[in-house]
Amino acid sequence: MARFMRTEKGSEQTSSEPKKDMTTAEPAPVQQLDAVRRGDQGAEPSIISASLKVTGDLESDAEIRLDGRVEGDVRGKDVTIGEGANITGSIYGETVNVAGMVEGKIEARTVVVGKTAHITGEIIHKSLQIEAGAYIDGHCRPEFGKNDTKSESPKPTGPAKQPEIKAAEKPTGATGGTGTAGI
Amino acid sequence: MTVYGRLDSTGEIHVHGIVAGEINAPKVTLWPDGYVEGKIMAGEAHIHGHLRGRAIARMVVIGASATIEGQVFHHKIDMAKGAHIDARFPWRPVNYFEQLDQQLQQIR
Repeated sequence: MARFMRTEKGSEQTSSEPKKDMTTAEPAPVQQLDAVRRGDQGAEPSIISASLKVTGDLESDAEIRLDGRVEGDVRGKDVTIGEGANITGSIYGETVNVAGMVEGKIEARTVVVGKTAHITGEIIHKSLQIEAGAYIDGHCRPEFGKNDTKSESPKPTGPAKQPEIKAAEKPTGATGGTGTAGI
Repeated sequence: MTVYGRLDSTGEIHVHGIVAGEINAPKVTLWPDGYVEGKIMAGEAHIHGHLRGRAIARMVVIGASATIEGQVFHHKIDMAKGAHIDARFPWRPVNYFEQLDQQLQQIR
């Protein structure tokens, strides 16, 4: 899947909103839309910025960068958890970089834990790197790919079958992120 | 990227991938390569991609590349020639959106 959101660089991009007239955005050929749904578009990173809160699951077969709050599972190839990020849920990927807060399982071939990381939950890996100062409360097991592959990041399967379209639905989670960043 | 669930933001949201669920932000832009199935609730909604479901925004801008199936609740609307529309466009007074906005802000 291409990117869900993009900024030119980083997350705190208050001024990154497109200044051009919206009505002049180039049209999307039908094949392009199909390509997006099939998930075979270019590998631009998907960015969840600090001001964004996601309640639900994220899937990508490319890079994901998280700086906001996620309550749900994340599946990607390269997943980066930024310093201010707060993830409640499991993270699956090939390479996972953690500098923020994670509550849940991390399962990846390569896991890199930075000194600002705060992890509560098990880490299933093949190769693990931990910087001094990181907080880890959980089991680190070198068992990536050993037991059944069903826990390995599955491929996204195109648009969802039945999204919830309930009106006035209140989220159960915490309050939204701060900051005013565009995404 | 595909998101299953809801997105709440105090900033802007640009959708280039797939969202199945609900989006709630002051400004939402659905780009031509984006697809939303569900609901967009925003102060300002710019739709250039494919929306299947509802958009609820005081100001709605629909680009020529848009495809919309569903309903668009609006106060002001701008629609480009060429957009593919299979939708209802109920108009709502300003106070409808003001009330909604207050509720949404608490969620954000």
